[in-house]
Amino acid sequence: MSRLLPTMLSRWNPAGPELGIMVAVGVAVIAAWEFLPPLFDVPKYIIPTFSDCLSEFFRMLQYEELGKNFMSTLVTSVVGFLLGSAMGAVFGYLLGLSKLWERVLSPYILALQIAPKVAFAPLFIMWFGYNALPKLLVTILIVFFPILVNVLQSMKTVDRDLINLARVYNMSRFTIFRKIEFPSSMPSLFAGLRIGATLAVIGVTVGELVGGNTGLGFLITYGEGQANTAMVFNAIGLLTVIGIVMYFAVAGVEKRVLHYLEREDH
Amino acid sequence: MTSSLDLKDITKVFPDRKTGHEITAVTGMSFSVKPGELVAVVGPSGCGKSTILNMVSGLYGPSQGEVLINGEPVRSTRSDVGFMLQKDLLLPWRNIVSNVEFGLEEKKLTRKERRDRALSEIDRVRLSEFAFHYPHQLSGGMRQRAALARTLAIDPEIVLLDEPFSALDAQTKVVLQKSFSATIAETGVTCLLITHDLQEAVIMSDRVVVLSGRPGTVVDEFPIDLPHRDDPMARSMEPGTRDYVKRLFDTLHLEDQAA
Repeated sequence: MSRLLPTMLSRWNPAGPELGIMVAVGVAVIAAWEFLPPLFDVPKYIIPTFSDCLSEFFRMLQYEELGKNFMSTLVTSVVGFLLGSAMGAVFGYLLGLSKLWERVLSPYILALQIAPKVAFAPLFIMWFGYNALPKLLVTILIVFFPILVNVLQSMKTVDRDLINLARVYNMSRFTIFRKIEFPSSMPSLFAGLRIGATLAVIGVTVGELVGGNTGLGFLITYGEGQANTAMVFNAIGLLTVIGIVMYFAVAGVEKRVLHYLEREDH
Repeated sequence: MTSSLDLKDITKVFPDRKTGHEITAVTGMSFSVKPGELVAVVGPSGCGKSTILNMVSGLYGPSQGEVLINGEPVRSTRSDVGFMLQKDLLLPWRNIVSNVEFGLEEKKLTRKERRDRALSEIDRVRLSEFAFHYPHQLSGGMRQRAALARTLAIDPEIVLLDEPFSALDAQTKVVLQKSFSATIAETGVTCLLITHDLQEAVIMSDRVVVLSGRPGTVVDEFPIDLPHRDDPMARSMEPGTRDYVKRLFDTLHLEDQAA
């Protein structure tokens, strides 16, 4: 880690003036947010200021079980993401191995891929009730397709010559999958996982908005009902934090797994 | 280790998926490669060079005729044929030594035997210090040398080289032709070199087979009676080289062709 950190900083490091401007923009936005609404007499239930949100944050921690709600959303996002991507990848590889099934199922996959997955949330609530299952299912569903499609696409574009080489070496169908096709698909799989990581948060949020009594999505509807705009702001902020953390976790794993790819920063 | 290769009256017809017509890639093609010989195959594009390669490696059979290795018909892929393409076909997620081991993994060898075999091939192509590097860390020429090591590691009866130098810059190409020739001469393996570079065909081979355009068939065949088959650079200085290149030039009617 001690070795990794400096390289991370150096990669991220925009030149001195750039970093300064970056920070200045952030400070300016927060200052505008803090001072402009009172100046124009914008009421708090429309735009709560930065300090309003901060104090609401600590109040939520104390009285609204913010920690518990945050963890609920985080855990559902992560579990839904893992299950959805595992299922998407498995189906992607299976369809990639069978030209026939891929052709037969592709119109249905396309239809399901286009269907707005979040619209299934009320349906799942009707089926499974007001518990954690519907939001988990929405998350799985929303993560599933981009990963399936990416994996399937990558299976179709594996270099034919590599497969021929393996065939000349008398490798079996399964060995070819294990040694050529599966590793070849890794970059596409990770591209799918990165998309999936951000979609997972959307899935959970919608599930919680529609019918939940826990989670950040629930706090948004709850805050809305009380005209507590600061609460809504905070919940949105924290959902973004979850999305960012998941995205960078995937990107970090990707960097380790795909270390053999040429990168511009070499 | 050294085997003969015979193509006997080969015809290969492909169905064309778009039009439904049939395309004849090669027709009535016959030529042979003696044990330890290096034969270059030249011809215009579309003369069925890749078709020959795929039939000899057993990826598919001819429509008519027979491909014989050591007198035995080729019926399916066989582990004693090595092939190398313009692309190095190195697996980017494996380092050089495990890339060279790739073809050995289907053979009954212990891990140690496999590693030793791979390392000695890597040594032969002088890449020892890069054995544990990844392909992207090597230059194009080095990657082709690694591919040659992988091809030779399986101890093939026959090596098929399909334009192995055509993706390289001119200087790398000259250096690599020299190193390939030396390595191939050292192993004494039977070799079929498919190329569209006439100079390369003359300076690297024992014999040249000239193919016509589609459908491909043999229009000329002659031995290269020059010294230094193991050193193309030296051979290219031989006065006779130019005459052979000229002969190929004429046979292929290059002068009559508009660009």
